[in-house]
Parts: sequence; structure tokens; C-alpha cells
Amino acid sequence: MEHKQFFSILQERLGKDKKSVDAFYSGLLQIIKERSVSMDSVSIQGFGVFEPRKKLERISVNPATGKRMLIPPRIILTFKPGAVLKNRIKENPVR
Amino acid sequence: MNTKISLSELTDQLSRKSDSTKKEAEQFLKEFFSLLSDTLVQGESLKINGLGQFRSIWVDARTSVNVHTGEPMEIPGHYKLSFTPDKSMREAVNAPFSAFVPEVLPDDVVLDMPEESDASDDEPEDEMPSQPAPENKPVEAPAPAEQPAADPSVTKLSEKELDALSDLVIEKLKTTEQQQQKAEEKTKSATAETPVVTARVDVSEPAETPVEEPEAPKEETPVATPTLTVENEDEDESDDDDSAETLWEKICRRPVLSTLCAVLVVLLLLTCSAAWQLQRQGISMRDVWTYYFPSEPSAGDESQPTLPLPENNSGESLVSTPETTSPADDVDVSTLPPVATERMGKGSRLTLLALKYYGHKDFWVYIYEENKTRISNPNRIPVGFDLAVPDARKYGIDANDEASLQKAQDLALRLKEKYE
Repeated sequence: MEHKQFFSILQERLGKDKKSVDAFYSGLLQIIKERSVSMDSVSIQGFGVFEPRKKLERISVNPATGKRMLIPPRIILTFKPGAVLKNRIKENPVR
Repeated sequence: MNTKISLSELTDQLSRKSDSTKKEAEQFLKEFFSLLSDTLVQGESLKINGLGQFRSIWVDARTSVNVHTGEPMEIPGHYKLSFTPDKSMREAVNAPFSAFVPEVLPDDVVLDMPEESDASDDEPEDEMPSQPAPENKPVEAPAPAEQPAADPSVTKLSEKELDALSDLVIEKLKTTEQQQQKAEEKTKSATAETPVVTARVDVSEPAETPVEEPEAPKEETPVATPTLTVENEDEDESDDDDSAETLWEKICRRPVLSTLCAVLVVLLLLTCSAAWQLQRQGISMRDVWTYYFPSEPSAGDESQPTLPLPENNSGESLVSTPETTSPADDVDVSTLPPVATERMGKGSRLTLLALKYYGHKDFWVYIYEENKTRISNPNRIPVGFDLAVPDARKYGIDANDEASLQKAQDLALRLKEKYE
């Protein structure tokens, strides 16, 4: 599902217009960003945790050229699904 | 710093941000995440601009090992959720480290990365840092900067940039960044070698160690047997070169003598390294002797009391006849041939072998004991290694005997202390 479809369903469910939903969403994004920058995580009950993680630098080899690269350290936003969501997804029928 | 906020706090902040009531904010969040999880549960992938992409990925069934019993078990295939942050989100989160870019390493740079299995490495050179030629070092930026200078005065310079971060790792990286800047600007000379900040990244370590002499020229080998290098090698080196040069010329004049000399030196080196290796593993020459000439009656080392084999020893098909031990057997027992050889593959474990052959995983120590002349560390046995599985009677292995088990566990404990 794409962004547009998702938000049109969300608007329906909330019974609000696009503008206000977008305002909420951008607020939410901003909060997640702010928290991540200060290395704090956001936990949502029943859904999961958005958590910034530090990754160490490492050496990787470009399979195409065989060149070795030093990949710098970085911080990346990770999402760890909560137990409920994880189990629900696990039980999906095999496609 | 490393704190979590829950939904209620998130609601508070959101309502403040978007100038709406808490109720509205809560309603939005609830709907947002429930819709999100509903969509995901249907197995659909979901891309949300600004946040990222959620996908459910199929994970194949795989075998694993039960940590408690050591038994192999199967983890069935299942779906798991993967999240890839959006580009804008990724950049925002990674802002403090945005200065770093991937760097292509030149081919001749050897970095001190932990290697897989090298148990059979028998040169004592491991002690020396395997540092490449110093000319290549500047290319290794960003992390391994040349001078480990972390004086606090410099740290303040870019405090503003990395304002929000005060975590240890970030602190560390901050200093490396400074080092990088410093290297570029060359404003401050590398005055004192202040100790490096606590946790350094693996890769950066070799850079600070005193640079080893670049590839000892061949002529030197007769003169300078592998010694640990000193810090101000550079000055000595030139002297060495001169003397080596003259010696080399002398050697060239007498080819036969020099070859003989060279062979002798090589032999001597080999013996030394072998002896050193053995000593490191705690093996005496006597053990080696008994290993190579097993027919000799070994008196002291392996005269462990032998216990009768139980009839129901599981998996022990090859050594089927349980004998009653008589004193006369004792001599034979220590030289019993191995019942089988097992080739180590990926995922092979001594404990699993012990479980298979002796009926209990704790007896792995004896398999190690049998092969310890050839493996240095029981935790790191190279793939493809042929392990000899000793006869159960040789070490008095009996899965039903408490004392035998206890003995194996004690031995395991000692080994554990030795190798950890």
C-alpha cells in the first residue's frame, strides 16, 4: 500500500480532512526525528518501538568491483515490532 | 538520552505541536498505528512518505541449537517485519555523522580485523601488529587519524555541531572527527601523545600502534631474526640497512656456505616457533613424544582410572564389547585407537560430537584432550579439521556415572578458565 491510499483510509476513519491529518502526521514525524537525534526512542503500545541505533564503521567489499570500502559509522532509525504485532505477522498464512 | 517515551507522552507532545486537544491527538495516533498494524498484518508492504517502508519478509526455516540441551532443533519459517527508514528520515537521524563518507581502501592496506579460524597459525609473529606500510595511512581516513590527540580544548570547537549528543560513542566519534579536521588543517602540531579516548573502534586501533618496519628487506633475515620493533625504528633502520648490505655482499661471494647458513637459520626458526607454539598451548615435549610414539608405555599423564562401559551407551556402535577392566588393560587403554574421525563442518560442535558418541555433551573435553596437540583453542576449530574421537574407555567416559561426569565438568571448567 502506498502513502496516498493509506492516508485516504486514515482520513475516512478519523472523519477529518486531509489538512488536519497531515498536520498531525508531520507533528508525529517531527517528534520521532527529534527523539532520534537525541538518541531517545519512541514506544507505541501494541505496535512497537522506534529506536535510533548506532552502527559501527565496517569494511565491506563491493561485489561488482572487488574494492574494499570503509563504511563510516552511522545512526539509523530502527523499528522493533512489539510482541503483539510480531506474533500477528508471524501467523500470516504462507503466500 | 536513551529514554523511552510512551504513547501518552507522545500524545502530549503531539497535541502541543499541532495546537489541538489531547483527545484529538490521541485519536489520531491510535487510528494511525492501528491502521498501520492492520495493513501490515495482512501481509502488505506499506510505504509512508517521510517515515519509511514497512515490509513483511519471509524467513526460511532453519536449524538451531537448543541452548540448554545442545540438541539441534528446527525453527519453522515465518514472516517478520522489516522497517527501512525513508531517505529524509535517515538523513535527519544520521545528521551528526553526516560528515562521514564511505572511503575506498587501497588494496595493500591490511587492517587488523578479527579473522575467522586461524588455529593452525604457528608463527610467533602474531604478537606484532600487522601494520601496513605507513605511506598508506592517510588514506584510511576518517576514523584512524594519525595522532591520537584528544585534548579537551579541541573538543570544544565543534561542540555546537554535535550539540544534542552526549553519549559515549558519540563522544568518541566526535574526537575522531576532530582528529580528521586536525589532520586536514595541520594547525596544531601533534605535540603529546595523549591516550586515546576509551572505546576506540577496532579498525582504528592499528593506526596508533607504533608503526612496524615496512616489510623487512630480505637481506636482513640472517641478521635480524624476528624481534619486536621499537618505536624509533626509522632511525635504526638506515643503520641496519647498511650493515645488512655489507653482509649480504659477503654472503653473495660464498654461495654454498650461505645456503647452508640460511637452511640452518630456517630450521632453527621452525623449531623455535614449534616449541613456542607448544608451550603456549601448555603441552610439554613429553606429551609430544607420547603422541608420536604411542607404543611407549606412558606412565604418568593419562593413567586415569578406567570405568566399565555401560551396555546401553547410546550411539557407541563401534566399540561394542563392554569389557570388565582388569589391571592388565590399563596399559592398553591409554593407547586405544580413536573410534572415529569426524570432519568439522560449519556448525559442528564438540558438544554435539560428545552427545553422539558418549551420550552426554559434557564429555566434549575428552575429544579436545585427544586432539589438543593439534588444536590450540577448543572454541575455535577450523572448518575441515579432522577430529579424532577417542575411545570411551581411554578417558573413563561413562554417561551414567556421576563421578565421570563430574570429572569431565571439572576439566571443562579448567579449560574454560584457560581460554576465556
